Amino acid sequence: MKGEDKKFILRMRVVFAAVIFVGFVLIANLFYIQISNGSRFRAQADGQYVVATYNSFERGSIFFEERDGSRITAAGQKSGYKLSVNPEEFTGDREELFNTVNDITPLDRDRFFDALDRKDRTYVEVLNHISKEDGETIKEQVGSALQLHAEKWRVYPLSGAAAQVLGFIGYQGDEYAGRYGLERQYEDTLKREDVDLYTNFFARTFHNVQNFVDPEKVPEGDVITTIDPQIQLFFEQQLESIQTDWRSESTGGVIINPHTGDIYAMGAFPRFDNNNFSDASISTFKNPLVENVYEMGSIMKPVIVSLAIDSDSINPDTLEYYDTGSVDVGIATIKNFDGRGRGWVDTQEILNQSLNTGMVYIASHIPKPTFRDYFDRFGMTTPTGIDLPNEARSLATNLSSNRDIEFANMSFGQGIAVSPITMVRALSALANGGMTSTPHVVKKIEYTNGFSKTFDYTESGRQAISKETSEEISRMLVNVFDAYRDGQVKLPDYSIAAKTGTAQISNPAGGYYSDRNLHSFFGYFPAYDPQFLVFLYTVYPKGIKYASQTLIDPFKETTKYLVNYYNIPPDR
Amino acid sequence: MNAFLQKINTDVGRKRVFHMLIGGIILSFVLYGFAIASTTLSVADAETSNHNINELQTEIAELEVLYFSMINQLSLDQAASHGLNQVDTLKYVRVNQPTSVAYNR
Repeated sequence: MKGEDKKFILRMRVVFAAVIFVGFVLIANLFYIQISNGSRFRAQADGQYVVATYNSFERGSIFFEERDGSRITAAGQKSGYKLSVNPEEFTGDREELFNTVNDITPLDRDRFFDALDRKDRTYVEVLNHISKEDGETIKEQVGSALQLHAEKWRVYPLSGAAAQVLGFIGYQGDEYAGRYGLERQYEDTLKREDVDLYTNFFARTFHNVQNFVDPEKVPEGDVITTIDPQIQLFFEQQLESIQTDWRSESTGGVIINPHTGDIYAMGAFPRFDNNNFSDASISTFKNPLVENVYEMGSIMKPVIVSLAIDSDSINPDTLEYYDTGSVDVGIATIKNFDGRGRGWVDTQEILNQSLNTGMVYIASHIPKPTFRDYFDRFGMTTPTGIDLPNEARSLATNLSSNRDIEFANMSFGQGIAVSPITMVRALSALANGGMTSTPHVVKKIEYTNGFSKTFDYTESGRQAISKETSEEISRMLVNVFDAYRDGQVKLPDYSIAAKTGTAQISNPAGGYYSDRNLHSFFGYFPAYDPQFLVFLYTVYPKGIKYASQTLIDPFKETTKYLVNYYNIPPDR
Repeated sequence: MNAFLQKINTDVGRKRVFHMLIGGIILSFVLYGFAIASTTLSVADAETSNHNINELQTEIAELEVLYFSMINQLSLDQAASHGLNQVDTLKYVRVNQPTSVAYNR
């Protein structure tokens, strides 16, 4: 090769290298410009309308899903304005200004005038969450006397429905994050990194890449729940009526698919409005269905009967017991709820009439290790793993006892305290063929990177009792429900398995209150292939003694609603 | 490669290559600017649209909730006042799927 050729090739390589170098410089320059000057450009853009607000709040949504798959935003976002004043420089007519703004959107008079009085301050907010339309009107009519700032905020369109399930976001120290419910449980999924796309394309791109490759990083996404908004709203109407009709201390309930553990509705009263909870009692923020434990009373009886049958401790076809109305266990005497004896009764009658004495008799046939083993199998001693925070642990130390009285008490639902959701899991096993399921409220997460994750809990269950025992106890519970109020309650075309419970409430000072009860109720239908299990409880209802008086009607209304809503065919 | 370079290594060829390189560089700049601008704007538009969709979904949810609460307040008396009667005896016919049912009087 000639020397001139070599020189040409060298030049060509230099030119190519220069082109590549210039390309890199351009990319680096654009990257630098977008990162370092992004906020300034954004401020210029926003400044055309209002004072720019940086780090605008961004967060993923939580959806409820209807039967047909259409989604309703249960926790979303809105954008608008907040209004502030500079008291130090304000010189206008206060009254006129107040009236002008108040005519556009309601304004707290005291807050407004207090703000203007703070002459040592240059910035005091006087109103938040102003809609875009109202904000524009204020700007037109008020001009520069007040300052508008762009603002985004969290909105819960259901205004308090499923309040404890959704939770809310708030400050704890300097951190603004989910504090209760799903907002807390899925904080890492719902929160958004402070990366503004408009001015920082590269940062956003690299941020997404980081989300992909970092195994520790929880991808950003939206949460889709199993909760049906229509059922939730209807169910909470029923719960509220229980709460107000009987002036209860608290009331709660769950509607769950006993096969899959999908929770269709979950609510508790007193509740709060997630949009405005500043005046609400902190105690209402907790989800009592998950975070509280109660002695559940007679709804525990079907669990005991089923474990007695499943372990061959009793034969329900031949068991007979002579009921005198009370029975001595050690030094204690256990009585029926009314103190009356029924004479000879069988297992079905013990359940129908909810006889404590009969349950003590059945429990006396169950070896204590068997009792403990089945309670473990039913999940009474372990958390359910529900996807909500702060799940309570059962108070089940009496299971470790060897005294007969403890097991006698547990046979009718006293002496062991479990959370409602733990009870619901155990009752689901009665309904679904004997398997415990994992109750849950989230079915899917849709990530912003385009992927999604669907939750499947069907393999997480454990066989608590056999399918045959499940069918047997379901048959008995159908008879129980059919017999309520001399058959006036039953739905002729639908088999419903159900049981009421009335428990004494323990007194922290020792023993039990003589005048306070917890009423509980569960029912599932269609009884032999149930799609729904409805659980209700109310704590300390006033002027009423038994759950059969407080909870059967709301249950029946809920059942009729579900039958219509889902077009459930009759099964008998 | 070498054969190709020898072929274009003439005065005319060099000028052509030079002009092509200049043109290529200018074209690269234009394409670069166009690609970055359109990509940035597209992604920004998508994000803006997502924000708008989220806000509209929230507003739709508020309307839906209002609708649900209204239909939940409907009573049998109201239905009766509009000429609708509750059927006391229903007869059911199962259609197609196990979970769907048709019913009439």
